[in-house]
Amino acid sequence: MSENFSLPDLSWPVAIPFWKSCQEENIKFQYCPKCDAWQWYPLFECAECGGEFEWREVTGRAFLFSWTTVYKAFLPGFEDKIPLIVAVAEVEGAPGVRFISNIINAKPEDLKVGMELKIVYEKVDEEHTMPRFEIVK
Amino acid sequence: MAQNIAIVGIGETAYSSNSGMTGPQLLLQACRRAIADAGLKTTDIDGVIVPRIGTNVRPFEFGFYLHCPLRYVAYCGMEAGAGAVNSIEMAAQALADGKAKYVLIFTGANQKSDAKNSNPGKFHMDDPYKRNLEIPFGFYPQPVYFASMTRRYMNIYGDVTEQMGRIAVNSRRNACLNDNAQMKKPMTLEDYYNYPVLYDPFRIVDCCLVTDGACAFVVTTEERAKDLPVKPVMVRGIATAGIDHITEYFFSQETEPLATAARKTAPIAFAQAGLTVDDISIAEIYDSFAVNTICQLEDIGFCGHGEFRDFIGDGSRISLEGDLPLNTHGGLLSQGYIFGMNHIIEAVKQIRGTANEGRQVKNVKSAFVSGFGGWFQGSLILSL
Ligand SMILES: [Zn+2]
Repeated sequence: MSENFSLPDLSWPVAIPFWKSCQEENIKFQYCPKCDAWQWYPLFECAECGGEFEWREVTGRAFLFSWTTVYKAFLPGFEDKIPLIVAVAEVEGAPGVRFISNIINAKPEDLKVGMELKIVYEKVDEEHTMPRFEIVK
Repeated sequence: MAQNIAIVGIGETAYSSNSGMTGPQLLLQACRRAIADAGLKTTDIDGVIVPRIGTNVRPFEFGFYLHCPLRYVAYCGMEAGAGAVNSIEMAAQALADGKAKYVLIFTGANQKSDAKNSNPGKFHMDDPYKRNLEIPFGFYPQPVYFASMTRRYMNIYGDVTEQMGRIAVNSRRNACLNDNAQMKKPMTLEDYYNYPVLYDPFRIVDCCLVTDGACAFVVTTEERAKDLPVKPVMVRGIATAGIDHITEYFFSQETEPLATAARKTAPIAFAQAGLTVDDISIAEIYDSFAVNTICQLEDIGFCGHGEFRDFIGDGSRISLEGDLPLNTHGGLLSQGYIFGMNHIIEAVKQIRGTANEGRQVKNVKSAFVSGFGGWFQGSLILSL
């Protein structure tokens, strides 16, 4: 069986707390209290002060930054997901955090830069809960 | 700094989907052609720089293959087109420091026929951040990265589907007039629209090719160039820079992905050359995807931000007969994807007046080459 690329490796050390927060349906990102700065993608230590991060919860809202709709899958694991809206969004209250996911239950023609999204959770299997975006009506 | 250096030799292999050669053979062919073109022997080459993108070769290996008495070897760490320009900057420094007399710069790979090891998506796939935080959501590979930037551009500045089509059609026409190009099937704007949208708003013909091929060139000082049999093409302006925000090569994390470092480098290169955009005869602009070309043209100052639609008009301006012929070789879209090295080779040919008939632009005085590489970008102005 070929690799299913639509699932992450949950054992990748630096993102373990992230995927756990998704499992708990309360998504969290890294924050350095000393620098008062958010960090994404995750690092083992704060890039600027070398200190330890906290994993902080956010409002669960985000603003659409860029997107594309994929009509032809590149990799195994996406065949049944086409067409797939792949979006980058700025997470509310966490300056500098741009999060990538899929916008579900939406039409590509309805999308606009800056529109409000909310993070919802899809339990894919026992281990994997994947965050997705929905448009805030 | 442009330190009175010249490109004196150019070499390229055929651009194809199956070279029938090993990776090192491909590179050696381009290198030998560049050295011979300069009127030099392999034993004259004492410096080698390899832009690392797309190749796993070690520079000093080629000292062995070519019997070059190397004194200076280096990798160039900037990606893609930026590395193509930056490698010339590095050569300028090595020449100025007396570390080498003749520097050979080369790269290339069997990206298509040896896709398992050399395809352009591989280094993205091998990154654990991308594998775990991007790929599971379908953010992979380059067509997806740049399609999403294009949607952002269109949402801010208005639809440019027709203009992307005109870029693709222009590149294809030039490739059809080029002896050495991967895509030789003519394409009209109507043909363009008939391709399905795969990665909205991209059709397959909006996407960079995947190519077997290699490019090489030889750089030396103006002084030494005078003793060689070829017409040296002088570096009049050269600058590279990174964008302001540290994003590695995570396209999703760039503060403003529509801003390229050309905003910083083009003014420097123009000032060194004592020229302005109005003095440029041809533009060879890194064109992995139309959005890259558009953003660089706007950042260089050929037109204002968001004004590309008016700038390109019906496309005649960027044609071989127009005011600013663009990607006269067919570019990454239709000639081949050799990381913008092929843009530099084309600029040299056009300035020498040796581009094959039908493609040679009349009276080329100065060429502007823009090499995009994500975080980095390089501006290069060449003339006789
Ligand atoms: Zn810190």
